[in-house]
Order: sequence, then structure tokens, then C-alpha cells
Amino acid sequence: MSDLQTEVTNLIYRESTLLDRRQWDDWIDLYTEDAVYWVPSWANEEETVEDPELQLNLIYLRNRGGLEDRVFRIESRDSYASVPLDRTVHVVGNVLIEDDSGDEIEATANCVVHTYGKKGSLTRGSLYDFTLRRVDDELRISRKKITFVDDRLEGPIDVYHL
Amino acid sequence: MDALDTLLLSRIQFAANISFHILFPTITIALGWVLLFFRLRFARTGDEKWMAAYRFWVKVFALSFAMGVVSGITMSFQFGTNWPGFMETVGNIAGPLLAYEVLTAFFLEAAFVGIMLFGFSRVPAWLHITATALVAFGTTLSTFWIIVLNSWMHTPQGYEMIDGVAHATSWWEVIFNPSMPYRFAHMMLASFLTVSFLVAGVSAFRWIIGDRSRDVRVTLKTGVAMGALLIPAQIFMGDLHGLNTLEYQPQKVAAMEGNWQTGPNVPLLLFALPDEEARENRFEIGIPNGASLILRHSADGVVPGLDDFVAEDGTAMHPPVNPVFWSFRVMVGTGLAMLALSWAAAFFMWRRRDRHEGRLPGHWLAVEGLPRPLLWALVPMAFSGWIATLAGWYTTEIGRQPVYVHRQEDGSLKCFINACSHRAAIMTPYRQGNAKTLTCRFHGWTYKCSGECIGIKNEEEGTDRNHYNLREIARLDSYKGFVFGSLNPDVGSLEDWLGATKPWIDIIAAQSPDGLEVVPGNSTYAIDGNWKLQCENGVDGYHVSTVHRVFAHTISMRESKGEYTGIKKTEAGRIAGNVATGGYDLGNGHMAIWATHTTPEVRPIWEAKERLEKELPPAQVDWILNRGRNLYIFPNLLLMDNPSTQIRLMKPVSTDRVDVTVYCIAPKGESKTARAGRLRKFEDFYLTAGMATSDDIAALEDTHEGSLAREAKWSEFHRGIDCFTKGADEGAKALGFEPAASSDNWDHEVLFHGFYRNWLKYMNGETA
Repeated sequence: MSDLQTEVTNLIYRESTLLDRRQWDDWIDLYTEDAVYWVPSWANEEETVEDPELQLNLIYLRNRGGLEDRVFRIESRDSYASVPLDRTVHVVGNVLIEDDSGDEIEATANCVVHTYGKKGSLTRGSLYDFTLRRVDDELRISRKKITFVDDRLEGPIDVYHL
Repeated sequence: MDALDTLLLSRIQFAANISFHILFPTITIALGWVLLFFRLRFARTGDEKWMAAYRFWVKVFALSFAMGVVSGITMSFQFGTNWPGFMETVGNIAGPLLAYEVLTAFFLEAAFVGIMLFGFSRVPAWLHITATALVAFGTTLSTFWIIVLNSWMHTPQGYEMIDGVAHATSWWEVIFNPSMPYRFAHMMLASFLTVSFLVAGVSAFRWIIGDRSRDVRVTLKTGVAMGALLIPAQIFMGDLHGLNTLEYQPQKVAAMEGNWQTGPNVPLLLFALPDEEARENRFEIGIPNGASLILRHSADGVVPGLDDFVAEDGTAMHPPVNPVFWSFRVMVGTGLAMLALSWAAAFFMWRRRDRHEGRLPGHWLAVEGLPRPLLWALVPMAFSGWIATLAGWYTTEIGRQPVYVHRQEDGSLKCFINACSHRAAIMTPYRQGNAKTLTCRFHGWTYKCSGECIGIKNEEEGTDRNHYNLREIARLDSYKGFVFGSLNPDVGSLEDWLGATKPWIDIIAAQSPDGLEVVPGNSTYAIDGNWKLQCENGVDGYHVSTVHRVFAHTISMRESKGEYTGIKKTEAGRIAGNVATGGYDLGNGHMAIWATHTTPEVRPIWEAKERLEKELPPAQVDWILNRGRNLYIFPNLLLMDNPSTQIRLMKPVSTDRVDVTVYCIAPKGESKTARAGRLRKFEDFYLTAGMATSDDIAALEDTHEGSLAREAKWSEFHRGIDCFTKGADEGAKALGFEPAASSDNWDHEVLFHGFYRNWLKYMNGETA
């Protein structure tokens, strides 16, 4: 396994681990200041929306401030949906580097998230599209697109469910 | 002078009577055939809009028919009282002709008009159609006999005078007198044109005042198309009739043309002041050789002059010039105006059809269904933006019955039970799509978008395909693009149902001159709770300052950092409840709440302020710009117009589960900044992946769970009971709706009483 493959895989593993272990600040630090976090909605049975600006998304955060909002809300303990907090286990696989020729690295991965909460156990899947960038020699996430395969959503969905 | 006075008075009386009378037959003659057209279209397409058009216009027909009869009877008296001398002379001809009219035509009309009016649901379709056809035929036959008499008076033949009394020598000649065919055709066309413009005009008016019933669309089209097609025919017919008059009544043509001296190269006078004393025109503007060209089809054609019709003693033997001259100009002018108007209207409608119906026909709404106990209620159903093109379809449910709405080739909508007539497989592979025919993927049966079964794989001999047409739902109607359907035929009109919610819908629909559109993308989420909790939640102002407190704090934190650009400020103060608010029980189970905006300029609609102020009444603009609004339409639709705008449809799956689908609805043509702002606010707040709706869902699920506790089975809905007032408050009066009750605080929960009372009524079967 190449060094880059290991580095990319570790970063993606790290993100999942930090979410499952609720280390929110460390999780946010994995993202660049200008990071885009995008979960498109489904336009029909087979396609998601393609233009996040002018179409409806499940989540579309255009910089790290958006992630900070989410963490603020979770940590406030005042969000009905986030108290008590669901337990999650992310299992990430299929990490592939799609393009490392430019300044940024394109990588994809699959994730199965097992959630336990008020509704009992739920297992859901996502496709990840990452854009990664080196900042101060550390690999950071500058863009994450999550294609959440479920369409009819059971219960609240927050960043740790995805 | 006494004799002249009697004559003049008789003339005035008769003229007044006949002028009044002719208004009504002119309507009924053609309207009968137009009704037959509507009735046949309904029989052929089964589309309710044609029957709605029939029902509307048959009332006009009935009223005109009654007025025609009543005003006609006095005329028949006047034949005797005002014109006894004339009747003595021509009675042998006029009497039988009038009798034929009564016996053959009037009896026919009078006998069958009742079936037309009241028979639709009482007699078989064929009989109702036949009755309509017989009445239409009767009015035309009536016209025929009256025109025969009128023409015979102008161009008499087939009689001989014996002792000063006319005796018919040939009824054939009497009836088919020379001017009869022209006059009859001219009158029939006149009637059809009158009706074209009456139908088009009334429909246009209904459209202007915001009536978007589907029959308005078709009657407007029918009226304009009929007018545009017939007016050239009438101009051609008028020309023939003119030539006929020239031959038989040259003095009348001379009066029409205002031409005094017989001769060639007579101009067509556009304007003149004929002076009968001086026997000349005092002032003339004309087109050189015009009259010669029209009447003789040659520039040097000879046109008769009035001076040829003066007796030796100087008595004029021609009609009074001014009335004929001017009424002829009014008639031709009206005809030309009709030509211009109908062709222009037809052109614009054709162009719009090309642009809109070919691609994106308006903005309609599909809303999903109800649980089984409420199946028979009127259910919101389909947004036609989704059925964008002709033959587009959109699937949804009424209750748990699958249905789909399919746009027809004429642009109308039909809604079918979504099950193949063969083995009930769902007909639509996707939630929405576009196809002129649908083929069941199981055994390959094929249906047209009209629901007609047109293909059965390996069809057996003697199969009656009509037996397998898809089943249409009982009722489908739309308001401002929002489509509603019902499985129960015995529900009132949609507009009655919507009642006080209409002005609320109007001010959403009025936000763009191009209408509304559903932004691509949507989200469906399931709530483990009773569907009514979601209905309440959409218009519950009381929970906002607790459940959404964290949303307000989060947004304040974001804004204090000032780093999250591209989205305008959110009003934390509004969420905290520090603004004027209110709520309404809108009747029929509908409810609404509102809250004022402290910073309305951050709303996406603010960019349209100037246009709205120009186009809409101030009260509407105030409600649009300054009040955030949540409207709940019983049983399963929520429309929200806040910094973002939402359609929320509830589909109850069972008593403890409801599927909710949300769409962002937005004015077409708004700026990209406004659209992006609207969407980001939507994503921040409304979705189950957002930062507010997710908290609502959790609260609703808790409420459902707690409600299962039988030891504490009552919920508390008393808040505001002392300040809840019956009827409209100032805001309601300003916008023009009549709520059952008004409240000056969205914390009040008594508006739910109306909702639950209506629900209970349905559950107890106390309403259709």
C-alpha cells in the first residue's frame, strides 16, 4: 500500500472514529476553513440533485462555520433531537484514491453507519466523495459529498448519522 | 298629429320590446349548440371540466330562454294591439309562420330544456345528450321560422293580394323567399358570435377575479376559438347578404351607404352626417370607389342613390337614412373589433400554449393522501410543475390508495387509480414521468393517458377493451395550481372547501407573475406518531420559543462570528416570540398562524417589493412581506411562507406513523441570490437533517408516546380560550377572509378546536 493510500485511508478512518467517539472539535479540525460539506437530496429514484446552490439539499454547508453550527447545537444539550444523543458506529471501506495528480486529492469511500437510538437499531449507507488538501503538511478535508442512499428518512439526521 | 303620435308610440313600444327580446334568443340559439359541444366532449373524454362548463352555461341558457319566452309573449300581443292593420293584411302569412314556430320549435325546446337542466344525474347519458341536441335544434328551428317571416316581410313572394289581404299561393316560395337564406345564415352567425364573446368575456372575467376552475380555461378557449373562426365567415356572409339586399332592397343599401345620387365610383363612407332635409351629406370622409368595389366588385360599379326613391309628391320611399346609416356602421365596426379581438386573443393563447403547455404548463400541486377513515374527504393531490409537459404523470396516494395524475393532450388533468385493470400492478415505474401511453410491466396491457385501454397482449376474440379502461377517481379540481382530489363523489366544490384559506393561497400564488415552481429535490421522512400531531405542529406557535430556542442560539452564534456568508440574517427575536403574532381557525378544519418580521428585508421575496406594491392591494403586500405564515389545509397539506417557503404533505400510514414529504416552492424567475437564500434557510430549518424540524419530530414522537398513557388521556388545548374571538380581526378584514375565530397570539392553542371538531365530524360520518 502506498504511503498516500495509507494517509488518505487513515484520515477517513479518523473522521469516522472521531464522530463515533463524539470528539467534535477534533472532528472539525480535520476540515479546512473553506471546507464544503454537502449531502444532496434525491431528485428522483435514480439521481440526486446536481446543483447544490440552486437545488434542495439535505445539508449544504459552505464552510467550516456550518459544521461549527452543528457541533454548537449538539453540545448545547438543548436540541430535542440530540438529547439523548444516538449511538453510532461507522464502518468505512472501499477507500480509493481517484485522482492525485493535482494540488488536491480526490478519493471515494463507502460507509455503513449502525445507529442505535429511540427508534432502536438502524443501519444506513452512504457513498463518500472526498476532496483532500494538504495544510501545514497535514492532509485535511476541503470537500465532502455524502450520497445518503436512504430516501425516506427514519428519524432525525445529523452529521454523526451520515 | 294624433295618429302620428299613436304610430310613433307604437313604434317605440315595439322597438323597445323587440330590442330587449332579441338579446335572449341571440344567446340561446348558439348557446344550445355550444352546450351540446360541452356535453359531447364530456361524453367522449369523461373529463369533469366539460361538465362543469355545461353546468355553468346551462344556467345562462335557462335564464335567457325564460327571458326570451317572457319578452316574446308581449311581442305577440303587440302584433295585434300595435299593428292590427298590418296583421289584417299579412295575417294569413304571418299567423301560420308564427304558429309553426310555436308548434315545431318552441314546444321542442320547452319540453326538453327541463331534462337538460335537471336530468344530468337522473337520466341516462344518451337521453341527456339527446335532450340537449333537441333543444339546440329547437332554438335553431325557431330562428328559422322567425327569420322566414322577417325575410318575407322584406322580400315578399308566393302570395297574391285579394281584397287587400295577402293570401299564400305557394308556401314553398313564401318560406324560401329570396333574402331568407342570407338573413338566416347572418342571424345564426350573429348568434354564434354573440355567444363566443359572451362565453369568452365571462370566462375572462372569472379568470381575472382569480377563478382558476378548469372549466374557465376550456370555456375561454372555446369562446375565443369560436369567435376567431366565425367572424371571417360572418364578414363573408355579410357581404353576400349585402349583395342580396342590393338586388331586392336597393333603397336600404343606399341608406346604408349614405349615397344620394345613383352612379359609378361611389366612395365607401367611413364617416358622414346625412342630412335628410337637404338630401345630402354635410360632411364626408370616405375611401374612393369603396362602395362600388364592395357592392359591385368593380371601381366603376353603379350604386343606387337615395334620390331614386322619392315619390313624385316628394315623399321619401326609402328608410330613414340616419338610423340605417349609423347602425350599419356600428355593426361593421363591431364586426371588425370582434375580428381584431378574437384573432389577437387566439394568437396570444396559441403562443402561450406553445410556450407553456408544450413545456411547463403552470404550477399545480400534488399533495398526498389520507388514512383510510378519511378517504372520502377532499384530499390535496398533485403539483403540476411535476407534470411539466403534456402527458406527464405524477404518482401519489389518496389515503393508502395509489393514484396517479396524468396530464391529457389538451392540457387538462385526469387522476386514475394506479392499478392495471388486469392484475392490479402499479402502472408507473417511477414517482413521476412522461408518456402518452402507459404499459403495465407485468403482462403488457397498454393504456392511453386518457385511461383508455388500447392494448391487450394476445387479445382474445370478442374482448371488450372498454371494460378495462382505468378507473378515474371521483373528483379532481385545482386552485391556483394546487390540485386536489377526492375518492368520494359527494363532496362540495373545492372552492367552498378551501373557503377562508383562499386568500392565504392567493398571496402565495401572487408572488410571481410567472407563477410558482417546485425547486428540484425533496425529502421524505417518517414520524413514529399520529398524523394529527404533525398537522398541529405546523401551526403551533407555542412550541417555537422552547423547541427552536436552540436554533435561534445557534444562528445567533453563527452571526456573531460573522463568518458564515452568503445567507441573510435569521430573526432570533421572532423565534423567541418578541413580535406580534396571531392565529386563526379558518373553518372546515383549516388553521393558520402568523408572526411579523422585524427585518422583512432579509426575506427572498423582498426583491419583488416594488412590483408587488404596483400590482397588488396594500393589504396583500403587507401580508406577503411583513408576516411569516403557516397555513394548514385539512387534512394533509401545510403551506409555509417564511424566510423559506415550503409545501409539506402528510401521508398517514397508520395511527402511529406518518410519512411527510417536503418541497421548496418558490416564485419563478426570482434572482439566484434570492433562490439560494431561500434554499439555505430551508436546509437550515425545515428538513429532518436540518436544525429545527428534526427537533420537532423528536418532540412529536415523544408526544405520541406519552399520549399512549391511558391514565392521563386528556391533552390540554385551553390556552387562549378567553381571548379567542369569533370571526375576523383587523388583519383578516384587511386581507379579506372570514375565519371562524381569530387570536392575537400564536401561543394560543384553541385554533386546534376547529381542526379536531372537523376531524371528529368525519370520523363520526357526519359529513359527506
